[in-house]
Amino acid sequence: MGAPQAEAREAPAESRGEKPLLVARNIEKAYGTVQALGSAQIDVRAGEIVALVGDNGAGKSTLIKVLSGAHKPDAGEIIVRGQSVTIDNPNDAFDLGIATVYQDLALLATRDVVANLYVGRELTRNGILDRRKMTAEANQVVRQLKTNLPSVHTRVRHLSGGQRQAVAIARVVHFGAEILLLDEPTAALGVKEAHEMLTLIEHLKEQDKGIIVVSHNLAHVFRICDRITVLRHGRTVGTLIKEETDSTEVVRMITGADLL
Amino acid sequence: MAVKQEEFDTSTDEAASESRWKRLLAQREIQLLLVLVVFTILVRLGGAPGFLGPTHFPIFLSQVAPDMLVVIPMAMLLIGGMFDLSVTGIANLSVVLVGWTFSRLLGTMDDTLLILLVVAIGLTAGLIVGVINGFAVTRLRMNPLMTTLATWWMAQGAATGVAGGESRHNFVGSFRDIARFQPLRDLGETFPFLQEMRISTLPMPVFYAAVVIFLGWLVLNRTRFGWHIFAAGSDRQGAALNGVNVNRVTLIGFVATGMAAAMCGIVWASRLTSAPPNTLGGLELRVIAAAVIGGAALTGGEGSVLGAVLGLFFMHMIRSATIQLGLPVYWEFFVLGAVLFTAVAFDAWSKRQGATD
Repeated sequence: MGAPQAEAREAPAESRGEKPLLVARNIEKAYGTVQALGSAQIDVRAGEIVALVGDNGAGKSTLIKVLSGAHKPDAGEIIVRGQSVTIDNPNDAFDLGIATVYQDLALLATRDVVANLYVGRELTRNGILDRRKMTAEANQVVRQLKTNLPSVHTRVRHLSGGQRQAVAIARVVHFGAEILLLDEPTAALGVKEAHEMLTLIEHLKEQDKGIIVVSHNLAHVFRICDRITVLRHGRTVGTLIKEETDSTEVVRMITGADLL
Repeated sequence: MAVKQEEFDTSTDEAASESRWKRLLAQREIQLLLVLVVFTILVRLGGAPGFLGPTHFPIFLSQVAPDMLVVIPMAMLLIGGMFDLSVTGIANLSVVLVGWTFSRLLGTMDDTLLILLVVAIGLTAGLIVGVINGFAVTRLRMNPLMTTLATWWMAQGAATGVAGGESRHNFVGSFRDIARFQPLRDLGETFPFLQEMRISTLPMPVFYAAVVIFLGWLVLNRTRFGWHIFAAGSDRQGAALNGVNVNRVTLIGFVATGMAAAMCGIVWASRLTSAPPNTLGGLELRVIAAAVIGGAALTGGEGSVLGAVLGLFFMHMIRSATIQLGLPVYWEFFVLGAVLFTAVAFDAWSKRQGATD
């Protein structure tokens, strides 16, 4: 067996006859003289988890930032639900149903789960906060995601890392995000919490969300994802279907070492 | 099996009610209320049996009332992650402007109109300083501590400057009703129990304070704006990322605090019917300390209106007890400082324990 022909092994969603939620093609992005992204491609369907892997500096974060509207790409095309779109800022992304959950979560530590779910979008009735409705809906969201929180009135300060992440995800899902970009969702978590987080991501998949997960942890990647997109030096070197590959091959593509 | 199940249920019930008690006792407001009750009992046993009794309590309330106008917006400002030292300067400036306006315009217009004008001028001074504070902190990104220290001195300097070494006291007679009118007096004649409980003699500032407390509670806990105050103080960037207009929250907070300080000055001018430029001293630290004792965090995101009310009660109770017990008044500040130190130390301790909720 020779070097894997990455391009030949590519498995974009389109070619498999299903309409992707989001497609990014030939994305380029330079910071000054540093070409962070050369030709990056990724796509995700509803009810699918795509892992985005690559070495440090391969351009994973940059690609996520382009898709979430935090950075504008220099070139390339983004297609959401079949429509070519431009994403200039996080609000554009939000309107398209794209939501990013970063490692630093932007949660309010001194506030409870309900206040965090609704911050900036509080529900009111006749100008007065509808706390009963917010609490009821928060309970429902938490139940839907099968996360285990002591109570929706617990302050975020008193939640574990995994629970905080669950709150952050619950927030974007509740406000209609269909395409979720998760940046290292398990990196800061212990074994048990990481396991719970992966289960939560699988629940999101069952709810027909399209999910892109950036991760360094190949064991986690292989547990939950359907396809794996590998970035190297800002280029997508290949997208593999999980059942047709293993971690050795993925590592080889990440490092670019044609060892065999 | 069934018996076992029952046992299990009662034990969890007990555990639940125990944790409910624990949670209740972990609330700053409840802790503070207990401290106030114990303090009152000790003072009464210690030689002042009338402390906060039916005769003292209404007087106590009217002494606390002017500070109360300021402590509520100050607590909200602190919860929003900000800070305002300039309130004493604003209050004194407002006092002096009242005196100055009366001395210039007395007799030139209808008395009621003149009083309205005087009040409007006083409040406008608070509004202007509040806008300056808010603008400096939000647009120019100036540090709130140094900004409000500067505006404090500017307002205080303007007060002494306008006063020009004089304390004016030629006011319209009915101006004193702002502080002294007793709205329930007539009601007291119909319902003797109101008179017995001295409720009918409560003066206007107590009612202003009640309105401010209610409005503060309503805004903070029942409106989107109130939750935005908490959000801004909890994590300014995180709140902004989620669409909270943190600059608007801050600006409104400074304006409300400035206008409340001006109102405090107007009440004092009315009570004293004179307008010295040093009417109020230490107002800023008194209300900030009260809010902090009541659970407001200097780092923002935490605190409550009820806590601020109780904190201010405590500050004034210490002062009042010192006098009633005949203790040397010179030591009052030592006690206030010790109480503040204890409150802050307790905060730090319970945060380390993760016990506050």
